[in-house]
Order: sequence, then structure tokens, then C-alpha cells
Amino acid sequence: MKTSGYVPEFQAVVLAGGKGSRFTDVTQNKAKCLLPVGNLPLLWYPLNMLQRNGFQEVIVVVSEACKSEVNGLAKRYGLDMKLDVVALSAQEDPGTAEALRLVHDRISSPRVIVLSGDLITDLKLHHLTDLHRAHRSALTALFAQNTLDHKTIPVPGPKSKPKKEKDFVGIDKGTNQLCYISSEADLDEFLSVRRSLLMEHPRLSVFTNLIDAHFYIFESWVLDFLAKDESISSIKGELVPHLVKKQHSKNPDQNQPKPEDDVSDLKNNPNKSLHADDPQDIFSYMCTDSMADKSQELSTWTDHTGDLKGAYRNRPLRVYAHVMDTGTCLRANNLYAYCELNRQISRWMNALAPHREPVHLHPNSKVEPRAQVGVECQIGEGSFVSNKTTLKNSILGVNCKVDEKVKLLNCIIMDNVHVKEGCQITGSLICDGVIVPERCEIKDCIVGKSYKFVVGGKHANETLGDDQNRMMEI
Amino acid sequence: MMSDLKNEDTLQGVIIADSYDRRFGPLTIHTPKCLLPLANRPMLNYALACLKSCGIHDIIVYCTSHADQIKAFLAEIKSDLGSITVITNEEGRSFGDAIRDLDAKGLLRQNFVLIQADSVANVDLIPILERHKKRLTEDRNASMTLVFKKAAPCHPGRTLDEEVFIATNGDTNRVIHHQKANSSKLNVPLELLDGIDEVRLCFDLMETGIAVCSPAIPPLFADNFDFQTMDDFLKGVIENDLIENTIYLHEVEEHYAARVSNLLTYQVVTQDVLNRWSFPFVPDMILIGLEKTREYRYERHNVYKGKDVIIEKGGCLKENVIVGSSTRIGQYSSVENSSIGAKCRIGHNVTILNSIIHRDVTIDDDCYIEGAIIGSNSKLGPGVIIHERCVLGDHVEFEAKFELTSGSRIVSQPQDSGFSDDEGGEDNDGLKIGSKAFKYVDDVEDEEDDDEIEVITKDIWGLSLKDVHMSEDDSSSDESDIEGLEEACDIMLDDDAKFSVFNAEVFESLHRGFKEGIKADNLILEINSSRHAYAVSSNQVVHSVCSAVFAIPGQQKDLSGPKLLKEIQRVIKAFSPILSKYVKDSAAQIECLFTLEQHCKDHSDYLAVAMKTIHFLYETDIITEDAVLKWFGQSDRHPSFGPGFRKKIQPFIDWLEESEDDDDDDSE
Repeated sequence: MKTSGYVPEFQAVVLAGGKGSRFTDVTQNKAKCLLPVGNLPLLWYPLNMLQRNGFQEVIVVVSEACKSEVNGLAKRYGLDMKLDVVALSAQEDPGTAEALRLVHDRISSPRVIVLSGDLITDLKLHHLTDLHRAHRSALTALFAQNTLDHKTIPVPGPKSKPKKEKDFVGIDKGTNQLCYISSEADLDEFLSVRRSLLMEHPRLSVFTNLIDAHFYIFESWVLDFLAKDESISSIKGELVPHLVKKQHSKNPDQNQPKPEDDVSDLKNNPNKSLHADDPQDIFSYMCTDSMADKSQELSTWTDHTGDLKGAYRNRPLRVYAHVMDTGTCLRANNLYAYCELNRQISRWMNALAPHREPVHLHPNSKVEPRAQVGVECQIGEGSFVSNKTTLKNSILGVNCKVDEKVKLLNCIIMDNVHVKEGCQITGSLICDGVIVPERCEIKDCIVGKSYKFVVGGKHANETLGDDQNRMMEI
Repeated sequence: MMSDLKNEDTLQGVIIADSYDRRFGPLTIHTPKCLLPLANRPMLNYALACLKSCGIHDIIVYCTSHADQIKAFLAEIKSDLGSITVITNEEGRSFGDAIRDLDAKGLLRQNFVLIQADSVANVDLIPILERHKKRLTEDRNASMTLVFKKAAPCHPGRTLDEEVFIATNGDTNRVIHHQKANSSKLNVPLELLDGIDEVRLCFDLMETGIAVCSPAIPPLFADNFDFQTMDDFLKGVIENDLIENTIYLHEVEEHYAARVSNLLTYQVVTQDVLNRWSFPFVPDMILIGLEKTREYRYERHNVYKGKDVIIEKGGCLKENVIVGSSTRIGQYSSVENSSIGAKCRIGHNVTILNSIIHRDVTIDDDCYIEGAIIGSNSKLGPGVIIHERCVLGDHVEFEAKFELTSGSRIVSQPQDSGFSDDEGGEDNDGLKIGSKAFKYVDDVEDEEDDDEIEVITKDIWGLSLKDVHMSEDDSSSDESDIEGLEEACDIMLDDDAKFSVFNAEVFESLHRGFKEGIKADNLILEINSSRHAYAVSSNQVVHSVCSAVFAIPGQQKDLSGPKLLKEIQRVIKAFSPILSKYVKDSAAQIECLFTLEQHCKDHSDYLAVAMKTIHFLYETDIITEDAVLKWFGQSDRHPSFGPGFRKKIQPFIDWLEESEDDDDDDSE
């Protein structure tokens, strides 16, 4: 990576090692980052977004199991970029912060873009980078209006209630500063905000409907801090709230020397109990630009009204948030979002990848003339659709075969699936290699990898796996 | 009255001419608050003018205390106003009673504008009323639109006891939470947030005392007898699931609106009027329908002069001054940012700053008055000095060269307190400071001091925000961070005086509590109320509490060595609930240890038992090992305490470190 003396301003890290624990029924069959969305692996979308915004090199963190596949991903799907694939070891389930620590030594740029491998967005990156640069932010995060309504989206599988996953995101609308963040699960009865915070941000908008895109721009010194403080395991759960909170602390190092410099009698003590469990304060990692500080001091510009304190009230650390209110921004981190994405992707493709030809029917696929295939359908490479079939709103993967008199409605069908004569499948998700025998009726089901159907079987709202026990384990 | 004939569109305005509190103490003994002069006009005129300028001619004035005076006053000007109905009810004890009474009388049958007599506003209420009506078609439960003025947190018109947190639905401006800002946190119940995409938390709003109400409001008061104040009402309507009525917010941005809720805002609003923020309600304009002639001339630097004002040679009205008619200002006297009533006599070489002086006041030569309010017909002898935040009632007299300390409240006659039989006994001697000057006793204070809100409003001036902001910054240090301690240390040096008063109060409370065995909870309450009153930071509280606890054993004479230690242990044990309440996080614990160190430095007999004391604190789990070590590591931040103390503690530190080593060994 560090071949030449040129250091780009931004480096990008895609965290794609997630296990997809919110929809294990699907992800147990295939790694989350490789799940197909519109016949492209999920990971393709964030990479494509980065390429669209001018990145030529990306660090990708994936699980050990799919390292080799991801290595070839760029080439296979026509991305002109160099992937530096870092594998997480197979056993443990590391948090996002742990994954970031893993790539810390590969970071040489002053700023790092960290995004989740399941993010599909047509974001114009400059909205975020402009905000970040303008305010010399420590962290800039992306949020988006939640367009998914769990009640109206039909999903396959047994009915389940969506979990409490609402975030409370407090943004000062005047400046876009991110002042408050917490999640519904962490709060008991009250949304509680400190008086001192409201003194500085007397008009704070707390949004309850935003989705955290898990898209961040960090100053690299934040990663230095993260690398040292091993107690932080999750970016969203711990690092971001920590930074948000620290915005309102004064920098202790500005006025006085660090206490441990002066403690001579404790230095001899090898035990060092005094600071053993006290990781260094984040401010000691902070890199400041003295010229920028000076110009801020001399400028009459200020980000607030109501008092005569300097810009930012002389707080050194700041966190900002950009809220996308138009365009696409969705994370495929649960079944609702995953299904909805597959349904909508053909409409969004133009915005997501303007230069890519829309693939309705793959050139190497064959659809017999008397088959009815809706325009919004996608048929993958090497697939075969027979006469007298009806396909609507469905996606067919690679090397699938659909026999005569089959009806597919709102289906996601992965690779190497064979649907035999007379089947009617609606609203279902069928994983790799399944053979659906004659005259089956399947409605709103998730069909696992090697499930064996009975001829003429009828199923509705079920999760069909090869072995129920194995699923319980997971 | 003529309600049957009333056109639907007649606009009704209701003025509640009483604030149902005693914050104006000495001034309102003989005069109702709404007739006190604000820039030399009765306060009530501003509310009347506000309604009138919006075309609201059907006005109801509801009076409680001094109703006859208000009635007489209105009778004088009534001819020029449209319909004005005066309702008196001397029985009423609260705002809620007033609305209930109006409901019982059946006077409020349509949407009406509710305005407090102490509001000053040049807001056009008609668009707000229209918006209110329109909203009714969208939400038939919409029953009130509260009018708030936008004002940044440091706005001078804001006072601590009147500050509010408001949470609204960002899309509709519906108020979903309303909370007096006397706590350190805004807590919005999560259940209220259901289905709201954007919750707007507002801390930049100031009450104006104006609300547009629908006819559903009065019956609500009638149904809920516990609604006493507007705050009760808001809390009840917002939080009670059974009440479906909704409340909306209107923000005033461009116009002026404020309320004279306490003495501090009395001064601030007076200045605002003189600075013409409330235009056209300024002294040189005729309030249409209320006045016939122009009384004041407006000169540059915002100086307003009434008729026949005489300013002798060298006398100077610097800026933002109003002087009532026939007042004489003596040679070389200067007046700045002040309001002076009619027929006053100001002597030579008098300085008057930031003050409000009512009519017929005589101030003799060489007086100095700063930031005070002086009631009518008072007389100050030559050379009297009156400091900030003093309030003099009517007819108070001071002899020559008297100096009145800041914050005094003075009345001209001893108050008949009602319960004390021995009139003129020792009690009054203590209060008497001149032949016609007695300290004012506010009997409200004693009645209900268990209520936290009451405690805060104890200071009738209203707390100025300036005092609070210092400690405000450091309240973020509740996070268990070292930095909190450092910030607190800076503050200690800054407002020493206030802190020392607080210190004394805490010591007094705890000492008495220890002797009389008062419950810990009550003592905590007492300390908290003092804390609010003096606006000290959490770390200062820790310091005060700890130093009091350490000082109490020393009150007994001739204790030393083991006996002293025993006594210390007994005291710490007795106060352990209090200590554990305040000495919570590591910053507080470190503060506690510094306090002990300081105490030992001042009282050498403690030095011998210091280590044992720390050990005892450690054993009773008030302080942790971490805190001790951290504190020990920070020694040089207070070099003056000397190394001797640290040497005494060294064995304990060694022991702690050793035992930690042992722990480590065990775990391996």
C-alpha cells in the first residue's frame, strides 16, 4: 500500500466480517457479505460506491471463510480497484472496533472512511467530507431517513416482531453537530439530556426515525486512541457515544501537565497501579493543526449565538452528522431490509451505478419465448426459464432452471436452484442448490440450502432448513 | 352580561391581575403588583395595550389582592376602552382558582387570549389566534397555544427559577413535555415519543405569560382541582392519559415579549422598555385608549424626561433613564440605566445606577444607590449607601450615612406576623434597623420548604444566570473524570464569598443534625436546597460536606490521639449515608481526601490520626483504593500542604499497594 511517498487524504475501510446475526435463517447458508442483492454480492455495493467516489484502493475486513472469494470479487464483477483483504480469525466474533484495530497499522492517511459492508447507498461522498473538513471534525457520521416500514413489507419465514432497535440521535440543526446519541434499548423510562448540553445547544432535534448507516469518517488519531483502548469493542455502541460525550469536556492537557509526569515516587513502582486500568484520555491522542487553530481564533466566525465565546466554545473535539433525506441509503442487516432491497434494486441501480448497464436478462441465460417474465425481474447467468411460466418481481440467480407451468411471484432465488413443473412460489427466499419438486406450493418461506421437499408439498410462513437442530444451535 | 348578544368573532382577552406569589415582597404590601410602575407606567397598562393594539376590546380583568385599587384604577381609564369587565374575588389563592371562578361564572365561551398582568409584549396576537383556530380543524383536541419568546440561554431576561425545558414534536410544534429547568437533566418520558419522528428539545424559550386558549380550557381547570398554577395545568394535561387535550407552542422571534416575574426581570424589562424593544409601548408614545396626552420627551441616549423636570447644574442623565414629571435632580448628581418616578427630590452629588425609584422619593446629598428598588415616599438621609439587590418598601426612611448591605429587604413598619403574641418584643428589635425601617420577613418561606421548586424561588430576586453559568460548565464533570475536579478547583477561587456562606450553612446543618440525630434524608434535602440557593458545583458540595464532617469531632475541646480518632469514626459512621450520597465517583472521593488534607493542615491535632481516618473511610467503602492512590499521585497540585502530611500517609499507601500485589499474585 505504502509504495510511493504519496499519502491520500482518505483511506477507506469496509467492515464486512459481520455474521448477519439478525437474520440467521438466511445467513447460515451464505456469508452475509456474499448474499446476492439483484444478482450481485452485497459487498459489491459499498465497493462500487467507493469506486464511484474515486477510491482505487480499499481495505476490506472479512471473515476467514470468504477471504478467497472476496479477493476475486473486484475482478469478477468489474470493479476497477485494488482490494486489500484482511481476514478475521474464524472462531471469535469480534466487534467492529476489534476489526478496526486489526487494520490500524495499514492506515497512513490523516482521515479514514469506515463503512459497513452491508450498506447500499447512492450518497454523494462530498456532503460528508465537506462537513468533516469544514468543522475539523473528529468523527462525521452518516444517517438517513428510515424509509422502511416494517408493517407493510411482507417477509418470508415465521412472523416475528421487530426488535427494539430505535436510535435517538440528537443533532443541532443549525450546525449539524451530533450532540446526543443513545439507543432505545439503553434507556429505561426517560430520554434524558443534561442541562449543560442544552445550554450549548438550546435547540436540539432528537430524531427517532433515522437509521445509522454505519458510515463514518474518522480522524486517524481517533484510531490511535482506539488501538490503545482495548475495552472498546463496538464503534457504534461505544466509540461513537464516547466521542459524542467527550465533545463537552475541556481538554485537560491544555492547562496543566499530565499528572503522571510528576509522580516520581510511583515511577519506581513497577506495578503502576495508579494508571493500570485507566487508559489514557482521548485528548492526549488528539492532533491539532496550530495554523487552523490560530485562524479560528482570529476569525469572527462562530458556530453559535447567544454568548460571546469563541467558535465551538473552544471545545477541541467535535462530532458531526449528515442526514440524507433524499436518495437511497439502506443496510441489509435484517430480513426486512434484505428483501426490500432485492425488490427495489432494479429501480435504484441507475442511481447506484450510473455507468453499469442494467442487467434484466443475462446474455448467457435463456428464456423461452412463451415465458412471461416481468421487466423488473432479473435472470442470472446460465439460467433457463421454460415456456408457460410466469415470473413477476423475482430475482433468479446463476444456473437456475425453471420448468414449465411454474409461477414465481416476489421471490428471491439464489444460485443453482431447480424449480420443477407446476410449482407456485410466492414471497419466498430460496437458497443455493435447492431442488423444488413438482407441484409444490410455497408461500412466504425461507428455504435453506439442502432442504428436501416432498412432491406436491404445501408450505406457508415457515423456515425450511435441512436440519432444524443445527439452526437452533446457531 | 351580554353574552347572548355576542358575535362569534368578538375577541376576548383575559388578564389575570395577580401573580399569586410574594416575590415582590415589600413593594406589594400596599399596592397590587400590576399597578407597580414599569418605566413610570402601571404594569397593567402594557397588558391592556397589548390586547388593545391587536383589536381585542372585550377584556376581562380578574383581580384578587388589592382588588379595590385595581378597580378604581380601571374606572379612571375605562371610558376609552371597549368593554372591560372587572371581576374581583378576594378569596382566590391561585391562578387555577381564578380560571375556575371564571368558568363558574360562564364568561369564557369562545377562544380567548389569556395574558398575565405583568406581561410586556408588542406581539401581534391575531395571527397566533388564527393559527390556533386553524389547528383546531386539524386536531380537535388542540386547546391551547402557548406563546414563548425565543431567548438564548444567556439572555439577561432569563432567570433560573423561570427557565423551562420544552420538548415539542418537530413536525407539528405540539408540546410533548414541559419541565421547569431546576434540575440538571431534561427527562422526557419515552412513552411520549411514540410515533414522533423528530423531537425538538428547546432550552431557548422564555415564558411570556400569554396563551391562546380554546373554550375547553376553563372546564379542565374546573374538573381538576389540583391545578393551581399554569405549570400544574401543563403537567397535568401533558402527562395525564385521561386528558386528551393537546397544547401547542408558538415562538416569538421578531417581536418583544417578556414577563416581569421577579425583581430581577423587573429591572431587565424596565431597561428593555427604555431601550425601546417594546416599541410602540415606550414612555414617549401614547398608549392608545389608555392615555390622552404625551407625558414624556424622548432625548438622545434613551433619556426620557417628564414635564417640569429640573436638572441642576452639573446634574447628568447619562443613558437609558426615565425621570417622572416635577422631579428635581441636584447638582453634580448622575443617573444611569435607571427609572425615577414623579415628584422625587434628588440631592447633590448623588449617584444612581441600575435602579428603580418610585414616586415621591427624597434622596439627600451624597447618596449612592446601585441596583436597588426604592418604594414610593421613601426618604434617604445624606450619605446613605444602598447596595445591589436591596428592596425598600413604601415610606421607608434612613438616617444619614446609613449603609445598607446588599440583598436587604426593608419595610417601613414592623409586620404583624400573626402568630407571635409578644408584639414589639425581641423579635422586632432584631428586625429594626431605623425608626422607619424594618427588615422584611417573608412568611411564605417557612410554609412549604419541602418543595424543591419553592426552595429555588426563595430568593425573591430570582437567580441571575450569571451566577450559575460558572458552575454550569463543570456539571459535565459528573462523569467520573479527573477533569471535573480540576475545573471545580478553578471555580473555588472564583466565587469564594458565595461558597463560604454555603460552607457555613452546610456545617451548621450537619452539626445540628449530628447533635439532634436528624435523619440523613432530611439533611440531604437541606444541603441540596442550600446548594441550589448558592449555585455551587457538585465538587464544592463534596468539599463542604467533607470539611463539615471532619470539623465536627473537633468541636469538642481537648480531644486528641485515640479519643479524637474514636470521635471521628463515630461522626463518619453517623454520616455515612450522607457521605456515600455525595462522595460517589472517584473525582468526589479525591476531593474528599484533599479536603481532609486541608483540614489537617489547619488543625494540627488531626495530623496524628489522618492515616487512621483515611483507613476508616476506606473500610467504610466511602473511598476506594483507586481514589486514594490517584489522590496521592496528585500531591503537587497543592504544594503548600507540605510533604509532612504525605509522609504520615505513606505507610497506608504502601499497605494498599502491597495488598494489591497480593491480589494479583492470588489471581495468577
